[in-house]
Amino acid sequence: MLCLIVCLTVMLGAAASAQDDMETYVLGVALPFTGSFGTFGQDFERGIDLAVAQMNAELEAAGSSIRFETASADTEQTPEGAARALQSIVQTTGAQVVVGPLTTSEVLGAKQFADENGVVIVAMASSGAAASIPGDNIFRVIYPPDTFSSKAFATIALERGHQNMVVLYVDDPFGNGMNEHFTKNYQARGGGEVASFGYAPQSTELSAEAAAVSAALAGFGDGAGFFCVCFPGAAEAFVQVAQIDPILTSVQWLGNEAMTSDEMLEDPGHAQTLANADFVTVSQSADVTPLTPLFNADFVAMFDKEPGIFTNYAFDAANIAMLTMLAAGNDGAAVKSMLPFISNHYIGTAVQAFLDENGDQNVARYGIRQVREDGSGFDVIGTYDGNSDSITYK
Amino acid sequence: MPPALLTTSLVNTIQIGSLYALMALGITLTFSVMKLPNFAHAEYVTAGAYAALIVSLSGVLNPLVIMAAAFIVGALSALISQLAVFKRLEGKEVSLYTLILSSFAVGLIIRYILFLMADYFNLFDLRIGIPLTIVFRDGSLILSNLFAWVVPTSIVLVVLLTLLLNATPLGREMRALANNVNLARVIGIPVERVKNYTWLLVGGLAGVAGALWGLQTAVHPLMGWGAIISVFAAAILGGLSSFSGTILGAYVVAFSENTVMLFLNANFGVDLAYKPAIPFIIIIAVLLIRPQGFTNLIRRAGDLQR
Amino acid sequence: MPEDPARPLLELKSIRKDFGGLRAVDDVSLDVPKGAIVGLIGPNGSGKSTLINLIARATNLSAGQVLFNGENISDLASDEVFRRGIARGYQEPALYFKMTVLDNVLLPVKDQRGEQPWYAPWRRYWQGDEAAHAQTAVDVLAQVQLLQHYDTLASDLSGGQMKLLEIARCLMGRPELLLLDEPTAGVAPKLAYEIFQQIARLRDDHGITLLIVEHRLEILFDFADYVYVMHLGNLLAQGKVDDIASDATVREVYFGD
Repeated sequence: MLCLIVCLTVMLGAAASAQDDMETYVLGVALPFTGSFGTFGQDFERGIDLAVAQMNAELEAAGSSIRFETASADTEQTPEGAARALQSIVQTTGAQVVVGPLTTSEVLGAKQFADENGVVIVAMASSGAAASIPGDNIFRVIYPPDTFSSKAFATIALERGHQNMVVLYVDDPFGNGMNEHFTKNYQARGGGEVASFGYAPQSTELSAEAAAVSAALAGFGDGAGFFCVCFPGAAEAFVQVAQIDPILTSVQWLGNEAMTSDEMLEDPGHAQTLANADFVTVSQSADVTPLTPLFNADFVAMFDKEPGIFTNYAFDAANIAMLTMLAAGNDGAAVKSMLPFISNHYIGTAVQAFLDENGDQNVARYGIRQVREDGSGFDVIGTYDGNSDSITYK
Repeated sequence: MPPALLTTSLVNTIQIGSLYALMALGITLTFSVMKLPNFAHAEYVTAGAYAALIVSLSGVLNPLVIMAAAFIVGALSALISQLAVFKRLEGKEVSLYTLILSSFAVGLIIRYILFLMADYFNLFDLRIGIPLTIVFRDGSLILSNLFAWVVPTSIVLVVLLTLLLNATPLGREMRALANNVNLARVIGIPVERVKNYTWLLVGGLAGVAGALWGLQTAVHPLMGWGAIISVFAAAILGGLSSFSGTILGAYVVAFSENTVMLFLNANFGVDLAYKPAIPFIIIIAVLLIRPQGFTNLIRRAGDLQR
Repeated sequence: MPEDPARPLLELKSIRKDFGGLRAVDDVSLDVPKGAIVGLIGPNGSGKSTLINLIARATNLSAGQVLFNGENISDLASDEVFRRGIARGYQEPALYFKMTVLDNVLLPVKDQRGEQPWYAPWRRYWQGDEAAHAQTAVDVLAQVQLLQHYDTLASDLSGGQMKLLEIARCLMGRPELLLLDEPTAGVAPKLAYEIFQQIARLRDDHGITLLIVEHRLEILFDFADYVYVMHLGNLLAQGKVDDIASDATVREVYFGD
């Protein structure tokens, strides 16, 4: 199935560009098209297709002989699947640059093959601190690593007066990193004890976890706060059982952005639970740049639907990858060397890219969002600047 | 382990154990009557949950209507997989491994049909629109309306199924198939028809379990698959042939995943992320130590092959 | 179909069965007339049981035809053959041992309403039928003297009772032809004679035709009308009981004298 998709895409592309002496650069796309992030993966691919279509139109208008085409494969949302997807793309098309994958565990799964074969990975949304490694072939160009947001969460927890914290986190590189850095930052800034509970990423039923969190909160007594680091699906399943827990419904919650999905607020019980918990999240700023409205309009024109959350990050990552390939050529080593320079000169649809020594986004401007009292949505109550480590409330 | 945590975990054990029992009985029934360890069972659960979700999104919030819709959709998906795949394979006298693999394949097909549908209509991680409320509270003992639905529904369905098997002509013929399908053919029992009826029952039960499981969690194409290992562990504990053993097995699995897991976490610092390993440990332990599970341990009253 | 009164109930036309290289039944043709008790004898391995299996469609024919009431049943499935009116008993009793005697005889009842899931949960739709079937079952069990054991598990019966239960179950299907493979195997001599008395009554009271494989010739010869003798897959001799009992070839093959 995987091979089929790759081959088909390449064959179609080859047939279209066979007429004259075109030079074709393959842009690999490794994303989860199945699994609980499958909808994200499919929407991200649309964002990438839009970037490629725009780039090819400009190249044609300029008389360039270079064209881009994509070869995509499903990471199945697992580290092993990501490694297989990368391998399949590279071996069937010779791609030197691959956009994706989505989560940190997938990125880490694909890392070894990328490093060993000189293939450059340009990830758009992975933020786990575990993938912040200097000198490797992984670039995370848009979304800053969680080392920043964990500071924001720790600061907010202290500002809210939480003397102790209970953390529920997904037991994968993203959740582990967030838990570790949050705990470190919270305690370094004067926080008390942190009781952490990991849940298995494949769990769909979280009543034991909710019971454990509730008991830990009860153990801490007044002044304790709760921080939830969940994936979509598990977030809803957790709130479902937490909403009748007397302790969980009497403390304040912090949480990652998976807790703020549309699905969450569609359920009145869930919305009410988050509202009662004064739920606050810290996520990549929804700031706009001159490119943002253009992207939105072009996306709607091409696909007849609104882009999903973070789809513009995939669009930006694809543009940075293609611009670097145009400058450095279709060669992994050259792209690796030049990518920081190009991305540091790229204005994105969300935020300026500026990479640190790990090849990670170093511009960390987050929005702080709090749920409305009636649970009808979220309001931006402030911003967090990761580079100066400061919170500004509106 | 604080007493409040113990109470909560025991309530969860009963609630989740009842749901596991409802799902696991179908697996036991399929294995006994059709000699098929059916992994596609997970997908009948998911199909039932989606039926329940769609009915609830259309504005009908009567739990009985929702469960009836889930029963019908679960039953039909089971019957279709029998007619389209399993029946044909039986005719070819394939091995057990081929049957298991084909049940995985059938499950994948149903799962991705549901994925396509969920993607098209954007039905991921939604909840069946019955709000959760507290119906009983005494100190740390808290029972939700979900508990009040799940536990009696499971008990009633289990009792009805037992009566059906032991006190009706259909049940008599199902038990005959469970014991000796070749003899059943020779003495003129309409084997294919009885099998089809059994599939309807199995799928229907799974569908109802899916509707209730969708109240416990969020509805997603992977939700049935996420529970299937626990459910199989329950069925294997029941020796795949005994109803009472399967029900006991379901509560043992739920107890291990809730009370035992939380006890190990509170007293020995075992990470909760090991929870999904529990059913695997149970399966391996049963197969190594006592492959027949609880069969013969309990009085044979609940034994299907009676 | 117009019934020809002279036509045999069962006709085998040149049937053959090969197991790999072994020819278990070789070109056998025989008739079973309506209302007769026909014996099928021969030493072990002569092909008798295979012949029974071929008629009941438990195995496939290699060649030839089986006609029942003039209809070719060579290609039907075994439950279809049962529905046409051919029931069979086994050498080793084949019963539902973990079910009660009553359940065992109720199983073969054709087209029960209560076997459909939309009727099964509502007792009033099928309890009338079920009572009628149970009455038939009681009659049949009384005939074979098993009525007092109706609630016993089949596994708790004696060997002879199991044989009788098997016969009783066959009767529930209202067969025209009953195939019995050594109905007295492993049964005490006194009970063996009783079993044959029951069998004779099936013919006398119900008009059932019987084809019986039997080793206890002294009992068989008391009850059978006609006997076929098989040897090495071939039909060696046939005739009335008295003729066969005195036939020199048969004695040589069968008793070795």
